[in-house]
Formats: sequence, C-alpha cells, structure tokens
Amino acid sequence: MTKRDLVREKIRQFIKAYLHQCDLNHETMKHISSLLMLKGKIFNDDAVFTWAEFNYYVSSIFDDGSDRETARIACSAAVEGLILATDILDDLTDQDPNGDILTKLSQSQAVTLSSVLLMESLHLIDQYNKHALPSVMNQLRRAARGQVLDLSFTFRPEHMPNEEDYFNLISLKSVSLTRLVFQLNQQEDYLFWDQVATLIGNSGQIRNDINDIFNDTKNDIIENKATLPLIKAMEASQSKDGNWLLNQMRSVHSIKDQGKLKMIREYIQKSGAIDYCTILSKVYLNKAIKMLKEYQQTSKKKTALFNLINFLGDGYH
Amino acid sequence: MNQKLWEIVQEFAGGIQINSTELAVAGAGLDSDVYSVLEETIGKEKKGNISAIQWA
Repeated sequence: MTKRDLVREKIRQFIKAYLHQCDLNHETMKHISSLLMLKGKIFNDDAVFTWAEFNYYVSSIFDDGSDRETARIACSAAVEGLILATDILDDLTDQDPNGDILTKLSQSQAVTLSSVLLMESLHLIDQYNKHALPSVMNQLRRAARGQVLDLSFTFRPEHMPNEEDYFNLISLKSVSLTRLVFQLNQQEDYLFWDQVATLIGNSGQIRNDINDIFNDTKNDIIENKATLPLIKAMEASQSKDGNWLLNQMRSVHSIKDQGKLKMIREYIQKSGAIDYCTILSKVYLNKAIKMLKEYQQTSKKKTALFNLINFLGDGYH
Repeated sequence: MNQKLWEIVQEFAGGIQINSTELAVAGAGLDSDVYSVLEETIGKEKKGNISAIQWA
C-alpha cells in the first residue's frame, strides 16, 4: 500500500466510523456513502484529486506531528463533507437533473443531505480545530455569496460578462474553498498562503469549466452560463461573426438537441477558447507549485511539502 | 498577460500549421512560464489537422 493509499484509507475509515456514531438513519448513511463514491470523491478508487486528501497534505506542511494525526484526519473528513454539501447545492441551483447527484436523490433529499453534511462537518471542525472555525465560516459565507451571484452570471443583452467579471466571481464561489483549506490549517503568513490558494483555486475552476463544456450532464451551454471558455469563445464570435455563438446557444433548449450542441462545442474548440483556458489553468497551477518549491527550500517540512506538490501534480495533470 | 496570450492563441486557432519559429516570434512578449505552457499545449496539438473555423 502506498503512502497515498494509506492516507486515503485512514480518512475513509474515519468517515465510516463517524457516520455510524451519528444518529442518522440507514437511508441517509447509504446516500452519503453513495455520493462519496462519485467521481473525485474520497470513496472512489479512481479519484485523482479529492478535497479530503488535499486538506490532509496541506495540514501536514504546517504540523506533521503524530499527535495531530487524528485531528488532521477528522478535519480532512470535514472538508470532504463541506465540499459535498456545496456540490449538492450547486447541482440543485444549476438544475442539473442529469447530474451525478440528482440522479441518485430527490430534490428534498438533496437539500436535507446538504444540510446534514454541512452541520456534521462544522461540528467536526468545532471538535478538532475550534480556533479555525471563524475563518472556515467566513470562507463559507464568501462561497455562498458567490453562489448567489452565480445564479445570474449568464450572457444577457444588457450584460455580457468578461474575463475580469469571471475571476471576481470565482474568487468568491470557488477560490473561497481552497482558501478555507489553508485557513483551516494555518493562521499566519496569510498573504503568501492566500496567493497559493488563489492560484490552485483558479486552476481547478477553469479546468472544471472546460470539462463541463463537453459534459452532457452539465447545463452551462443551455443555461448560457458565463464560464471562461464561453466568455472567450463569445468574445471571438462578437468580433468575427456578429454573435453567431450567442444566437446558437439561445436556440438550444434541451440536452437532446445533440446536433446543435456538437456544432457549438466544435465552434468553441476552434475559436481557441479551450486552448486558452487549458493554458491558463496549467500556468496557475505551475505558479502555485513554484511558490511551494521556493518555500520548501527554507522549510523544515520538506517531505510534507514534497507530498503536497506531488499530490497537486498528480491530481491536475 | 492574459490578453496577449489570448491574442496569440486566437492567431493560431483553427488549424494553421505552426512551426516553432513562428510560435517563438508570436510569444516573444510572454512571461517564460506562460510561453513554455503555450508551446507545450499548442505546439504539440496543432499540426494542421484541425480544419479552420468557418467564420460567418
């Protein structure tokens, strides 16, 4: 078993034991376990990046003492729960009925599970890392404000969002969650770690937005969501062909309209928007890794930093 | 940095054959970290296989 397998297994075992000790009914436990097996989640053997492991490796660079191991595992489980809670809300607000989550749950079950996950995760942080709770709450509030703005972050005649608007939005909606992980583990050198968290968050969100363009369970094209690949393709379309792309996107109302979706996706690809976003995502991650490597040179936690860099490299490439 | 990168990517979008000299000239103003990713992403990917977009 590799070191990484061992970490993953410890977190899984903690979550299983914790769910059993919670006063939850069998159905709720079954749903949570099933959601944690989805792509990118901690019970999924093929996941290359999970938030629980990300927290574990970040935590280790600040304090890798064995006496802190239980708290580290518990907080990693809590982070996994917080992210799953926000993923559920994401799918609900995006109205993705074909998404991984809403094919498993009714809307009322989804809302209830999100609430349970949020409360139990905050409870764990309160138990194991109480002093970080205000910072965690602050980042969750920022993420929630981002979600509110995201609801209306679409292409409309009166407002066509640009790249700057996009980065302002994801700073709230998504980067708050990578900041949360760093602030859960470290209260000093705020500016340095904030920069690292921002670069990692930007990279991850752009990559997700690229993937969602080609994912039939996501509604970004149909809902005219202003994600970065669409913003850039829209800019190209505005300057070169009088908004052909926007007109086409407005004429697609269902995922069943595969012919038009294929044409739109090809257009986006050929506009250079996907290449541009792919490059930006890699550049941001490389910058974060470069900062971590520089920090590693004078740090006493060289192995822990190596593990985090390795994890990010594995997860993002 | 982003605007310059976007202009270069658009210049080479649509399947124009790229040789390393052209890419190097276009990317001259870019930060070296950005240029290396540009070269890795675009240089390998585009060998004239993708048909040019039919701008209306």
